[in-house]
Amino acid sequence: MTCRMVQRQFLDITRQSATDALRLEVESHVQDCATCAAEGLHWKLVGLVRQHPTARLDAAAEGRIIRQVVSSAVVPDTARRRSMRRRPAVAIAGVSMLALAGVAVFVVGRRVRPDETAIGGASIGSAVGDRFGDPFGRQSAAHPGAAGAPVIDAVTEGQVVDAAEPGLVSFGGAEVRYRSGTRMSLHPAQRLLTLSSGEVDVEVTPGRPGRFRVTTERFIVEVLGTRFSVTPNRVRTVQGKVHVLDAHVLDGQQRELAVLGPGDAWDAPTDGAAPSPLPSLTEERGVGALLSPPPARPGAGRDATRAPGADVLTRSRAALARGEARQARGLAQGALASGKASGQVASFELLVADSLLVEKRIDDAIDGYRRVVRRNPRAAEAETAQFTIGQLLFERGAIVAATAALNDYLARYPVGRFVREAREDLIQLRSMK
Amino acid sequence: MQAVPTAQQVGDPCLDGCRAGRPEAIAELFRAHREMVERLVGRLVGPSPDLEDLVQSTFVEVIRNISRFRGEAKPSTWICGIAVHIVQHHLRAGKVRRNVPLELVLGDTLRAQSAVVDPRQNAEQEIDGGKVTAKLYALMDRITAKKRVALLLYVMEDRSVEEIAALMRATQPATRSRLYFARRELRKLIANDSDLRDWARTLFSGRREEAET
Repeated sequence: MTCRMVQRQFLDITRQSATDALRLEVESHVQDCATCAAEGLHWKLVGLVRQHPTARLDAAAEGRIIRQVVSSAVVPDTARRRSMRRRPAVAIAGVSMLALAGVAVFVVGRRVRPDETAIGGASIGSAVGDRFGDPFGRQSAAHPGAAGAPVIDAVTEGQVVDAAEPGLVSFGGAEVRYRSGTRMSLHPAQRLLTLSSGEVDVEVTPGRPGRFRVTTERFIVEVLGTRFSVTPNRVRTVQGKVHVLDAHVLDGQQRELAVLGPGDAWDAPTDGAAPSPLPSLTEERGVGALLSPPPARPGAGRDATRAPGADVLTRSRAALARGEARQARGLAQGALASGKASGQVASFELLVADSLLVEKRIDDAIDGYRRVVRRNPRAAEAETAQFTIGQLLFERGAIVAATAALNDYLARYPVGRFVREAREDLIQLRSMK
Repeated sequence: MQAVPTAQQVGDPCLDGCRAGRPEAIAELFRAHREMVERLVGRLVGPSPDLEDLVQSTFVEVIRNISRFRGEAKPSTWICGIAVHIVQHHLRAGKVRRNVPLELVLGDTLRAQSAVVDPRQNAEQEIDGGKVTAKLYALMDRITAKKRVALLLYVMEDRSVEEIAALMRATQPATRSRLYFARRELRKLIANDSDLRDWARTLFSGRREEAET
């Protein structure tokens, strides 16, 4: 047996699948050949590793994983509402911070990711906000087919669906769930759905060429990859980002009416009124109100005891809610410089960073959020800032930096408000590497 | 090799339940295959703090794609394929993982486990077992993900070339080629690593000399 032949057998000897005869032959060769003997020792090391136990997950990990896996499946609407109720309503400052984070997410929007999954190209996106519940004929988290609703698999160009009951149709890289009474026509070649009446929930898988569009009589929703619902008068985004365009072309251009981030909704203006040039963020979610400090409880609030910068903070937030980022920043920076921000430095600094984000100065905003984290590590605002850093880096495609930031967030705030989102983002980041 | 639940053991009701998104069915599926996935992922990535995330990602993908499972293979085979794919993604990314210090990787858990498995080993050998594992996996980071996974499935998991080809969605000649080159690369890497050379000599030559005397 030559050295070459012997060396080929080491692999099988290591995994103990070589015959005894072969093994003895190799051993006799090794006794006379120093080179093969040395290599044999190396493969024995591999054999040692083979016998070494692999790391095991602890019992707590099992619970965590099951929770995550279950939550990655469809979440029924009722369950989501219950979980919302359980959130600490008393965390007023937290609500404000969430609102600010909402503004941040709204402006930048959720990223549109390439096809990143291991199997089949389904998105590993967040299940948060998955609301394909009762209106679409589901009794539970099951898909419409499981609830007995029809599933349309083969779609022809221009096919009209006049649904007497809720159902599901897949075409053009999108899954469309419709409720009863929906009338729509489908155009797979153009990735177009024309909605006449009713309501559809659309989940678009990213990665396909061209944008998926839903047109109504009054507006057009354009999307790369996301999940949203549309009625003839209203768009609501569950996940990702959509553009709402005017259905009427003016001067050869299609006007953009709104850009919606996750959780945002937009209502088409009533007849006769001009279409709103801005997303209905302030109208729908009352962000202006949320950004402002909540009204003081009777007898609890005392003007004399209010922090000196409270009014400035209120005005800054109101300005930011109106989209006047520069003014908001000016007020906040003025307060910081004059010392009026005492006790609310973190809030002001966060507001400055948010205003930069509103102006789409992403790098400056990231610096601003980092400043918040660095200078106010124990403030509630630092948590929002840390998570936002991770989100923004994710948006920019800085995978390693985003992973580090989100890991940092999870390490600092293991039971924080954005833990679930951060973990989901990390899963997506891993699949994008 | 450890027995894994068959399609019959897992049962169609469980799979149907998973398709319907029922938490109890998902938990049942997870518990039935957790150990297999955990061991497989552990073998392929080595000692890594990402084990939990990788196992989780595997099952997230399983549930998301379960409607596509046609039942032509055993669920365990299908889940293994997903796990292998997830690990390959993870290994291709590599950069973050490679920056994980060995001190972190060689946590107390792993050391404790190696001590539990073979209490007859002396303290020096316990440490060497953990060290060798960490060192060898660190070296294997230099081998491309495809070759590394093929080699580990072959050597550590006792999979046949046919099975590896099916799991990695590759042809059998391609799999054989990957095994050949992975073996060659690993041989060179070990030969060029002074620590591993010394450990091999200490662990195996020493024993032989002792036996001879």
